[in-house]
Amino acid sequence: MTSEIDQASGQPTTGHEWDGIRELDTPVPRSMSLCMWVSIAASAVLWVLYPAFPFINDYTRGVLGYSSRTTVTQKVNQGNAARQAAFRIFADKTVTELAQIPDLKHRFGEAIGVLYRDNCSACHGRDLAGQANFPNLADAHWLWSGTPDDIELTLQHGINHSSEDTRYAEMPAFGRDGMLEKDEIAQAVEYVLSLSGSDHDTGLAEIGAGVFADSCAACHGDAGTGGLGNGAPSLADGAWIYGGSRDALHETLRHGRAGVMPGWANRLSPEEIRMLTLYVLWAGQDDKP
Amino acid sequence: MSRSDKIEGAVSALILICVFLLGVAILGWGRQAGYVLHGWLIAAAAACGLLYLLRLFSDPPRDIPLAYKDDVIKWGVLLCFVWGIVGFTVGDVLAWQLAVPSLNGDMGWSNFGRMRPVHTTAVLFGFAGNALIATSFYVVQRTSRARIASETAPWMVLGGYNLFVLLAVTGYPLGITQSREYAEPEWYADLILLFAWVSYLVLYLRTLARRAEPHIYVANWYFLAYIVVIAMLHTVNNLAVPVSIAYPKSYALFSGVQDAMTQWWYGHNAAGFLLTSGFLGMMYYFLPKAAGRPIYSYRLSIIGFWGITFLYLWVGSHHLHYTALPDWVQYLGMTMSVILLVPSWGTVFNGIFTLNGAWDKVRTDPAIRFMMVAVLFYGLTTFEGSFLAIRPVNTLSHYTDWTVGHVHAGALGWVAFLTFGAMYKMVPWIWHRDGVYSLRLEAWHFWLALSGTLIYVGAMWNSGITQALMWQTYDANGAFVFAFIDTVDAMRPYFFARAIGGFLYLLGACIGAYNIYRTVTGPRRAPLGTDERPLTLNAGE
Amino acid sequence: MGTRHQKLERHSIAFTLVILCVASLGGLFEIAPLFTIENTVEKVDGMRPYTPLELAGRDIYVREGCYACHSQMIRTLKSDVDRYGHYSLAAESMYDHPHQWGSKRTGPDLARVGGKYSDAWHVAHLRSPREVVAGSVMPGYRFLSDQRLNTDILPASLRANQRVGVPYSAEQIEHASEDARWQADPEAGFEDVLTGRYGDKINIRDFDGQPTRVTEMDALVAYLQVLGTLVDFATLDAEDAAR
Ligand code: HEC
Ligand code: HEC
Ligand code: HEC
Ligand code: HEM
Ligand code: HEM
Ligand SMILES: [Ca+2]
Ligand SMILES: [Ca+2]
Ligand SMILES: [Cu+2]
Repeated sequence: MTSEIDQASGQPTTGHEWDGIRELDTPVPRSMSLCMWVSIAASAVLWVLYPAFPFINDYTRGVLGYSSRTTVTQKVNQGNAARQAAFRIFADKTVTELAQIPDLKHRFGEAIGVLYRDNCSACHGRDLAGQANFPNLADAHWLWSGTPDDIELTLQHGINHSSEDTRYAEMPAFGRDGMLEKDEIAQAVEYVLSLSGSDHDTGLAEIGAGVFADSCAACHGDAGTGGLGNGAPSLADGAWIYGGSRDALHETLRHGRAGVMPGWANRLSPEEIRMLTLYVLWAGQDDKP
Repeated sequence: MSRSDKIEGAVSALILICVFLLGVAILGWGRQAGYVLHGWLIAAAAACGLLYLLRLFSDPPRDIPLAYKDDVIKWGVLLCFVWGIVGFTVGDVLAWQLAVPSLNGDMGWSNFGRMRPVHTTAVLFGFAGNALIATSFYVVQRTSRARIASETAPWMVLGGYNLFVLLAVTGYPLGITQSREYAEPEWYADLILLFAWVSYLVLYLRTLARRAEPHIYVANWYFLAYIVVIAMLHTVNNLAVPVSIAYPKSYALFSGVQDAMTQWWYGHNAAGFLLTSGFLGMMYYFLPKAAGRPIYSYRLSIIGFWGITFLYLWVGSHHLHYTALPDWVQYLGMTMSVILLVPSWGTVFNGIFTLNGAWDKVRTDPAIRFMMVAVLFYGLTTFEGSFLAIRPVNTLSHYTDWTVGHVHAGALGWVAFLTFGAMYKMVPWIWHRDGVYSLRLEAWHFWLALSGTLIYVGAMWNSGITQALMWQTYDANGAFVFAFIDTVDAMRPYFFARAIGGFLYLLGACIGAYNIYRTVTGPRRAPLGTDERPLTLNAGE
Repeated sequence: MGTRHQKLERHSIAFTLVILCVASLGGLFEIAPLFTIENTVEKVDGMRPYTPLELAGRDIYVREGCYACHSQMIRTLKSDVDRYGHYSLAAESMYDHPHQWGSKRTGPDLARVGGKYSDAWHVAHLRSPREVVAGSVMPGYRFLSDQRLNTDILPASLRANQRVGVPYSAEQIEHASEDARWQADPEAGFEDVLTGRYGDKINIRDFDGQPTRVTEMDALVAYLQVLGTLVDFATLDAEDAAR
């Protein structure tokens, strides 16, 4: 139990030994004590400045009166104000006016693209080309009128969404609800196929024309070209939301469709909605047939 | 048979009967396949334990040899390697899943979300936990010069503990989880761990009570702290109300913000007391022992130990910066984390300077090299940790791969390196071999592990900081420059790099396992010297 | 320092007790006050316990480990608020046993995902994320559409939640199983009963596109669609919130 001097370091040992392991009695390096006290002192300063220690029912608030929440609210408000200034043009002008300004795309296209990818691309695809069950926004075919105001309205309130002023556009379930018989559906399907020039059974399609005139034309138009401003798409343009195959058409007629496009009025600012409206318009312009 | 042995036998039997009944209740009332399977597992394990006890107590009492009890340690080593390989493999599978998502499969059980806790549990509790149990049993006997205080309890601890790990990792793929990070197992597994862990504590204290040395060695301070504190954390954090005995599901006692704070109080110290205190215990024995040098400074040991033991429990809130946790807790957690750097680095210095006078061995002995690099990584990780705990810095790391990089600098570089180093020393000692089967393979293992770690951690630093910056970048007009999905795209190359780094690490570990296997099955050496056994059987009692 | 410590080193029990005391302080100072300091959980209107279907969905969220990739915690950082909406309140997870704030954002934050997409999108996305979102690394959960939701467990689930402090009424507990089925089946015609029990902010729809079945997909989507939609932020008192 006696301490001795370690040869290599010149330090005394503590005199204990465990399974051959001994300990030196080296004093704690100065620099370490210093670091310790500095870090404690620095922390103490923070404890005084910022909220830190709790009591039973309260805590020290800190002399700076700092709060993460107040701070971020300020920063967000400042940011919003700055953005409002930078994007003022989108607040001041209507979308129709904005659509006439040529260099907006160049100036703001990138930023709007980010907004689009964070909110819309999940459904409509990064290239706006849509995908199964979600319409293509980059072509010139519209469910609604495709005017800037109309697109803006769609973005604000959505389609078939739970928001109050949403637009309703439902394709009835002719099969399930017993409005058409099986063979009538088959005939209508062949007729719809014929509209877009797809392979079809001409005999059935001829009978289908009658079915169509009776049951469908009211929404899709006499020639099936849509455009009545009721959300019913053209069936003659070869652009499909749910697919133009025979099977998909049967499915559509049997069970109906009511695609949901969310409304964004609660999530995005009016300016942002306008920006996105333009983004959609620009995409459509590139693809004018 | 002594009185204390009889008491212990009775208590053990009682615990096993309780566990057996738990298992029977589950398999009888359970209405979910995986859960019923767990019932069978629990009942079978408890039944085996009871049979073992029965045999032990019906046989005429055998003389306990004047030797350290190493058989249970050998099983601990085996389990450590098995869980290690399983855990690393699953980790690398996860890494590949993120790089090539179709690897998730359509099966449900193989999803990233279900497999991720399999990895964390297998490595933290399976690999690191078994390494700690094995080495702590080794260390407490040697530094007390006493045989472990019971013939049965060590088996209960090891067996119960591994039953817990098994229930945990088989549960997640079957959908049995609480989804509370690092505390995922459901209530019945938690209960089994509690039994095992309290037995561990009692056993440890009883063994220390037998010690022939008047003082308790530093390594044992750390082991004690890790056992005591984890008992406390585990109990509080897993308080929950089961839905019914028919289903494994339970609901945590606390909710929302209180639950989050409790969870990270536990969560930080799952890292803290398992991966830090426990492993510092390991370091304090194997490093000086292997180097043949005294500990650099006893005083630093004291500061380091109490600093860590006190401060770690305050810093959990650094996992919740800028969340709905009140600011005051965040500031407390942040400042305590910064102060924590001092005892942490004090301990690093204590480890590194212990090698003073033995630096030549670092070059020649890969095991020491493993341990030295481990200590350096410990220094790196704790520095990084204290840095990440600073609120503004945390905005660049939280929710990103930077955290994952930090974790694996600690996990791969510190925890696993130290384990390998200690194992390369301890295995020849307990199996009485002259040395490791092949030093060349050991060196291969070292370099593969080191390059794997560097690739992994480097990739995650890049990806984490890249992602955080992308999330926060605004253009001149104050609009975002990147959408979230753009950051997912940007992670791709790093995910691949990590998967490759992880594969190298796994390869190294397999070589290590093979090397250990060949060592164990290799030729024995000459009989033991007298300093390799306890002084007396129960000196202290 | 040396001598007093050397004394302590000689007594294993005392040493253990000192460790325990030293290590308890952190929890005492940082956890216990969260239960007693009043403004820890803000007082806001709108929060209600999950409906049985939403709770079942949450259990699936927990079971699948979605927290491994998704946070549900919008931090008080400008870039978080700008991207995801109002910072999360403690009140918003007050019925979450356990919380699912998460620690990793491999995927986006989900705290306010409710209402952002349509049910059909969620179903398509959960079934096969990469078919819907190019470049996603999220696994597919096709099987959720096939698995019937176990509604038998729900009364017991609500009761367990009640025991841990969620204010479910005896009536809500008793009817939990039917309520879950009715919420996923507008044809059943129990909207009034459901709104009577859970208030107006309840989505009553067939969520998974299979009107005749109540599947795990129904439940998970019902849960996702309610996330972040309950609190009325107009009732948040700025001073009370600053803490
Ligand atoms: C949940 C998926 C979803 C998201 C997200 C979404 N949409 Fe839609 N969107 C739809 C669906 C479905 C329709 C078609 C509705 C229908 O079938 O009647 C649609 C229709 C539209 C239309 C009308 C097209 C026409 O022909 O008249 C426009 C314009 C549009 N979306 C733009 C956007 C923009 C811009 C965003 C982002 C702010 C967005 N959408 C986000 C699903 C979505
Ligand atoms: C009440 C008005 C209404 C009537 C009547 C109606 N439709 Fe529709 N139809 C719609 C609307 C609205 C949509 C778009 C639904 C959506 O996008 O979710 C639609 C969509 C479709 C589509 C899918 C187009 C695509 O791009 O995938 C087809 C095909 C179709 N209708 C055919 C018919 C036929 C054939 C009939 C008569 C048997 C018919 N519709 C009668 C309103 C109607
Ligand atoms: C491997 C990581 C991973 C797992 C596990 C995971 N996700 Fe995702 N998730 C992502 C990524 C990446 C995205 C972004 C790309 C996308 O939309 O698919 C995402 C997107 C989402 C979105 C769209 C959010 C938005 O605002 O665009 C929802 C909702 C979602 N996930 C729900 C879930 C649910 C529910 C689970 C569990 C059943 C889950 N995720 C599991 C990675 C994951
Ligand atoms: C001084 C010591 C340390 C401090 C102050 C510290 C601090 C931190 C911080 C700030 C985080 C990030 C939290 C977040 O933003 O989500 C973190 C995460 C983590 N650290 Fe450390 N760390 C330390 C040492 C270690 C060590 C030695 C390990 C051992 C491996 C470790 C393991 C982890 C783990 C596993 C996580 C991830 C938790 C999660 O999000 O799942 N840490 N640590
Ligand atoms: C072959 C070696 C390994 C590989 C390839 C690997 C891979 C991974 C991956 C891919 C993740 C998920 C990260 C994410 O969610 O983005 C992960 C998480 C984790 N791993 Fe590993 N891992 C390895 C070894 C280890 C070891 C040895 C340990 C501990 C001793 C460990 C502890 C953890 C922990 C604690 C997490 C959770 C991190 C967090 O929540 O932030 N890993 N690992
Ligand atoms: Ca648990
Ligand atoms: Ca359904
Ligand atoms: Cu931590």
